[in-house]
Amino acid sequence: MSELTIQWVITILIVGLAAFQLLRQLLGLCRKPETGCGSACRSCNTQELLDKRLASLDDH
Amino acid sequence: MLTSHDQPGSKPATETQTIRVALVGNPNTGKTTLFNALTGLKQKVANYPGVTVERKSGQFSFEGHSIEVIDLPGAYSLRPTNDVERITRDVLLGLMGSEKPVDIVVVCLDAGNLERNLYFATQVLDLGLPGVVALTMNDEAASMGQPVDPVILEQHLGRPVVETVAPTYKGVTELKRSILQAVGREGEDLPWSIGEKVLHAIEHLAVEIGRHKPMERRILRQIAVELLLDRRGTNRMIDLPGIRELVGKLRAELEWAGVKWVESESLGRYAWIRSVIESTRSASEEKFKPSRSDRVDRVLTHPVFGLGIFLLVMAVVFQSIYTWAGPFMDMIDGLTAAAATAVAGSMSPGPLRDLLTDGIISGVGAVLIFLPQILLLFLFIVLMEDSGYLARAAFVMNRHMRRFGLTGHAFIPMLSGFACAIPAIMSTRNISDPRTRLATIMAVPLTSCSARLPVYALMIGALIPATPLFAGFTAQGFVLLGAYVFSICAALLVARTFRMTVLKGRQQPFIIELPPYRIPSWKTVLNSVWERGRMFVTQAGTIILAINIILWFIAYFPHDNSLQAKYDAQRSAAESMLSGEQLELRMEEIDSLQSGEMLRGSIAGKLGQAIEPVIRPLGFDWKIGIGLLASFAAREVFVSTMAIVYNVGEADETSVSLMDAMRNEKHASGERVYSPLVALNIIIFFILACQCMGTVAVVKRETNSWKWPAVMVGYMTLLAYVSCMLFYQIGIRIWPGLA
Repeated sequence: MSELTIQWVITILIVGLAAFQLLRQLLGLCRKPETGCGSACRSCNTQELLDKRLASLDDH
Repeated sequence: MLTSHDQPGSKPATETQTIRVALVGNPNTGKTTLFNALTGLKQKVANYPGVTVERKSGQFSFEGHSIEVIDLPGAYSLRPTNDVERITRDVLLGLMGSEKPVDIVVVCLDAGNLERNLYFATQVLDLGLPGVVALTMNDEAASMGQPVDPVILEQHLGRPVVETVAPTYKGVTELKRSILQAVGREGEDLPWSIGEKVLHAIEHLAVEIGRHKPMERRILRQIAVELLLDRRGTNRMIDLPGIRELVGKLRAELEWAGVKWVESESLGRYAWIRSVIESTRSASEEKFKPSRSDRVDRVLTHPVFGLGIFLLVMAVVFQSIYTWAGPFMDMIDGLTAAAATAVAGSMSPGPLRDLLTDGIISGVGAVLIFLPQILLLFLFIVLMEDSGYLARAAFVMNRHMRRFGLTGHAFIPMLSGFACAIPAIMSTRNISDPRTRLATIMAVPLTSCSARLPVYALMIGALIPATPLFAGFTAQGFVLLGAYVFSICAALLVARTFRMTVLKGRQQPFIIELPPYRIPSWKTVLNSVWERGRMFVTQAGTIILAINIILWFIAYFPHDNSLQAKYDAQRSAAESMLSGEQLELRMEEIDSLQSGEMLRGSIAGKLGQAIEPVIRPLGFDWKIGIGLLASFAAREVFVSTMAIVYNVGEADETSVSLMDAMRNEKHASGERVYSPLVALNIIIFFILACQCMGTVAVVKRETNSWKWPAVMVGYMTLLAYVSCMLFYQIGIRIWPGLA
């Protein structure tokens, strides 16, 4: 593979990663959906966490 | 009292387990200072009510035990009125999913505000958790002639009471020892009474809730108290089968029996609290005397002098931000350019090299360039917070801000927006009312931030004549002043509109605690500033960087390699024919021509041409369209983009060649593209449009959703478009000479 091809591949990977990061933010995908990641993602809504906690109390 | 005898299953501390301690108290009780003294961790400390809004934890070891302290947000009540109080309640009740239940609670009591502090403290102690009370600021209470006797207070509360002076570490070791001794020891029930009938109703309701959601009785009882006594009804448990009906029935029964159930908790608690205060102060109480803070407040909260002093302080702050941040911003700019040059020199030409230099390094630079202003602004804000002045400033400005549906708390963010909207939006955390906070967040991006200034300078310098008007004022100065006045009016009117429409709601009463004046601690001030800077770089910065990379991509692709060959041939020809300064100039010219042609052929360039029909009614052509699209990442990018579009190479807002190129630019019909009217319209567009991805990212972070950033981008784009179209279309008819 020529150096230029390698540069292209790495470039596309980096741009893809940036797009994925933005998409993750946009869709509110949580990194730790089980416990909540504590960031500003949509999954980490206080009420949802409360419901999860209450559900786990029910289980026990 | 609300507790019976089923205490949570706390166990005495063993050396192997980590003891989890929740640190709670009203805002501004010295809680965070105590947290720092206990854990030695760096954390924000301020005496402006309501600053601690995030979870903070730290660890320390004492006598062989590992102890984790969680600094919970300051709260006035366990019946939550906002998210901050809800977090405190949920953690104490063990309902916060990401937080394990706590073993012991340390309640901070400000001796100077004992009555109000004890209301929350008794609610917390009623939860049945093992507890220790940290009595803070007793020295200030003593200076006002009202010291509190910790021994008598301990007898009443039935929990250890330790007097602490956290900044000097007085009482901290004793507090640590008391924590260890208290783990697993249930506190005595507090002898206040809510009334037999209300207590019976609470127990009945708790049993019914427990049938649907089996939980510890102390949790069930707290939920029952909230459902029965809080008429706002924000707890979702009300929707459990039959619970709403039962609550209504129990309330009706209490009313029928003549019981004042709404006030029952506060009446019962305060009656007992007053008796406690009388006994704790009776031994040593002197006549109340006004403190030094009270005397200073007569001037600083005066309707006239207070306002004058505040405006003077703000003028000094903003001038300092502009003056002091400048050299650091230049330095970051220089370092970014040097890093890009170094990378370009060490790699072979190709897309990765261009991505690193023009996308990533310039993207990192675009994040870091804001840091000096952010750090300086927060340095001033934290100094004002910690000294106690910010609460006075909010008090003084309140009556003026209320006319626009805001409160005094909103003034600082609005003013901060003139430096940069990003820290300004971050500083809205001081606004407790969510509607007022959102209205402020929506309006702040309209205040004219420093990134707009290069665009104003280019447009005014190129197209507005320096005609003298009056008293040394020229038309250029008048337009610049007008831009700032226009942005202030737009921000206030937008805030008012939001408060009257989508954020409509009763204006919350403005209640603010005026803490005593204190000399800020440099350690905590610098920690706080560092924390804000770190948060900006790691959270907003990552989004800004990702957007910059994508913008680079659309301005770079499709990358026509034949163009590279064409311009390389021109370079070779120039090298063989020219030398010295002539060669340098020619090479710059070729670079500019290549950049311009590449940009025009890129996705961004095509988009600029595609949107021309849409922006034509505003008096803008496709080249301005490319500038507008590029500036959606950051406004200041407009100037360098226009330099690329007009092939004038490296340029800034004072570049004569760029101004000449713009002045001489003509449509195919031979008409000039740029006129004073178009220049004014570009300025209006830049004031009203949301062209800052950093701001969008911060709004997303602060509102915890994409809804509000979308609303902001939507309304600002629409407002900018409609305003500019009306201005231009009316302008060409009324002032044809300017068109």
